[in-house]
Amino acid sequence: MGARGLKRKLHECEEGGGSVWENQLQSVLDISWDKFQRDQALVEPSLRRSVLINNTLRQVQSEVRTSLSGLCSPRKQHSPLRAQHELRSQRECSPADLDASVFSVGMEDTGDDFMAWSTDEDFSLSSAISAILKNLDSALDAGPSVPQRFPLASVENIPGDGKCRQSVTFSHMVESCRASEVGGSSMSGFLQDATIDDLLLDIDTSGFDGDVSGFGSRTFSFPADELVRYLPALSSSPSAPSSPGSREMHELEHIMDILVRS
Amino acid sequence: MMVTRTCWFVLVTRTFWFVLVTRTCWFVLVTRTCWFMLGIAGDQDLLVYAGDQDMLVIAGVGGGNDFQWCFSQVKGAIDEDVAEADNTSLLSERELRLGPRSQAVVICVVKESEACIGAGVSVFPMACVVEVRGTVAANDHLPCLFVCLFVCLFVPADIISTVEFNYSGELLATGDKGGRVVIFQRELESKNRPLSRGEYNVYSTFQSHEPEFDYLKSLEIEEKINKIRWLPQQNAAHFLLSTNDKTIKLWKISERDKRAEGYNLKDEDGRLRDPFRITTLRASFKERSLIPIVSPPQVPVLMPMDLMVEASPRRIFANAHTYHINSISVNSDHETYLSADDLRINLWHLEITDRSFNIVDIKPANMEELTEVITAAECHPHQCNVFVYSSSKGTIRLCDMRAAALCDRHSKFFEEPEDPSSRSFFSEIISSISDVKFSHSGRYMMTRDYLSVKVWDLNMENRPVETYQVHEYLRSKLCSLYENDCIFDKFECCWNGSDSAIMTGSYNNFFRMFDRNTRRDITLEASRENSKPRAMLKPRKVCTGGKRKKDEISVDSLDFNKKILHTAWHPKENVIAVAATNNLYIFQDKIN
Repeated sequence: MGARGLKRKLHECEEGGGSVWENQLQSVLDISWDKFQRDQALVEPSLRRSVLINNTLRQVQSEVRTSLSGLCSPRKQHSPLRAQHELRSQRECSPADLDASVFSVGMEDTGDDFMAWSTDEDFSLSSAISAILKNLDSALDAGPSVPQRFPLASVENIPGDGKCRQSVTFSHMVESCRASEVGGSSMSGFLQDATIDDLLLDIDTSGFDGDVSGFGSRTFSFPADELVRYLPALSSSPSAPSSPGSREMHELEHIMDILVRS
Repeated sequence: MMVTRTCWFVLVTRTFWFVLVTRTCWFVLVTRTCWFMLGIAGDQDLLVYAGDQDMLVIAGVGGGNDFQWCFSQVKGAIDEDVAEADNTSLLSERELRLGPRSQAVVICVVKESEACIGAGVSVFPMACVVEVRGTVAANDHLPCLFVCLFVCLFVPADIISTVEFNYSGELLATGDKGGRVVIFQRELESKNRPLSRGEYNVYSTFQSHEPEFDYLKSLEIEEKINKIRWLPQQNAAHFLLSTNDKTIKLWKISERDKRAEGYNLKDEDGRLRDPFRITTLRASFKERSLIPIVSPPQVPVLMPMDLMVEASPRRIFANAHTYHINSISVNSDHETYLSADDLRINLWHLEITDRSFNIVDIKPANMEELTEVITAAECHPHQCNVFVYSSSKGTIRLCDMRAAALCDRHSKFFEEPEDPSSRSFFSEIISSISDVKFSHSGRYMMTRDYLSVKVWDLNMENRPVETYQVHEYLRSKLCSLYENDCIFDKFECCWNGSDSAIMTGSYNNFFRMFDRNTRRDITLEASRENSKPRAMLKPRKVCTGGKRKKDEISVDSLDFNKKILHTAWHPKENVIAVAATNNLYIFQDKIN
């Protein structure tokens, strides 16, 4: 299976070498995320293990970020400022919430961990994020009873709290990343890109081009058929989001879960 | 209890008890949910009484010579606690191996008419591997001579979690996952066999820690013994410290081979006599004489008795650690010791249990910023003010307790700069140090990370003086090892008495020894097949690529469940103890 990580060079990103690195990146993300989730379900995960998994996830994040920041500068058209802002805040929540989730279980000082944000100037991640989304979808298919918590994303998506948002920003990130990565082709051009297409399948792209403000408190829920429905509508206005009712339920479950654990 | 050819068996556990007696084969099985009783069975007729609607038990005469086993059906579970659902379902030919916390129900049916269906049962101490072959319908009427049904519920296997020789090497202590400590003592060399080295036999067994429940956090505290450290012997008794995740206990192991007899205050049968009635010293009466002959009053005398080894807890050091204790280390002053958990290190006095000094605290104010934990700590063998602790980021800090009360600022910082060409996503995880040990001389220290062992000179902080690759062939498999969690295994390492060799464990029950002087290394395997008495261990080799030579093992066929995490080397001689899951292997060097 996965080999050692290769130091990814700039010019390699569009070639085969990049995809090898991406594959490993994706697999490391998959596994780390899986472990992270499982540890959340444990009553008392080992602190050393949690710290190591968390650091690995952070490292993967930063690798993706650095590789993209070298590429993304000329490709700003798909990274609207508001997306950037959301991404930034999105990114902020990620490590914070990761930490919060990791350390709030059975540990001290759980009180306000999940409220804290830190500032970060970097922005969007790559198709690796979409890989995460694919994982989430597969996790969804498995019929989870536990409310979904997604890597590098806000754990709580409590309406009105003004915390991180998820689905919209993910799709924003994906779009902007892919724009920068593949290089300038149009949105529809991405759809033809075989390597990324399947990654896109699971993204809730509703609201991608639409009002960002409307999604201030959207929870991340993935009815698979709805997502597929959205797939060809990437450049069109967003369709109706998934039913608010189920989202509320998810949010409540989120909250309850956090409260119970902390 | 053992199963012998005469077929009597007694098994008493916490959840059931079972008695099977003699060849006439009547047995009783009582569990919490059902009972069975079997009367005498003749040649054909089987009399079964079962007290549970879900369980059908058939039993019969167990006469005859060989006791052969094969597997039958299980209908329903005997006990609600039977955890492994797989094991209770209908099982066919397969090997039933019990994990650490699993309980399994095994029904074995012995049939003479079936051709040689056998099963081996090995018990050590509570572990069991039962190989089952064949299925037999439970309610078949079997016209065979003897059929015997045997139901047993196995207690979880005891995985050894720590191994430690004492200062003289005479005693070897092991701790296991069930909170038990077993101490082995070396037999004195007998004059009859001057060439044979002393063997280690069980000296004492006691339950050191019990599972506890933390009500505030609703967490169960495991009773697994994380570390055992001996104290230097000062009198006839032996003392050791044993710790689980939260509590450290000081145990006194003492021998008793005399017993006082002839008490004045106690009757012969032990009852206390009323003190007011005792007016004179008791006089003894000669036995079996018609005329009582009264001898002069006596004081109690010490009579010899069978040697009894007692272990008693003398101190309990509790409630000082929020996180899991990973190390304890006795100081060279023999009065204090340190205990380290993931974020803090405490210094204790052996006599004082209600408080300890916190000397290292790396907990950040904001737990979100936590990126590093303490993985091991040890006191210097000669300088009682010096200790080191290692971290999950591959760094070692040496601290001097004279410098400050809180040793957050290190005196020395040991870290090897990372090799940029071998950087990967797992660089940090594999650099996490799992064990740190000072050499006996106190000049060097050794650290074990996932793939290598490094020897550091205490005077040189920027890099180790020696690096030994333990299983470099795993570097290309790190992603799989990350996936199956093997990358988080914490291997220990140890020095030999003269600091000329070091030893550490690996996978597939391999362990590696490195000679520091000749730079040679050897890989050996701890397995039952290779362990005949006095048999020389054959060096093993892992084939890393290309053609596999004879006797080599390829990397892909390594068994990653068989890992040797704990090893110990006798402080003076070339005797090593290697813990392979739930077996303890002791090897000695060959005498020419």
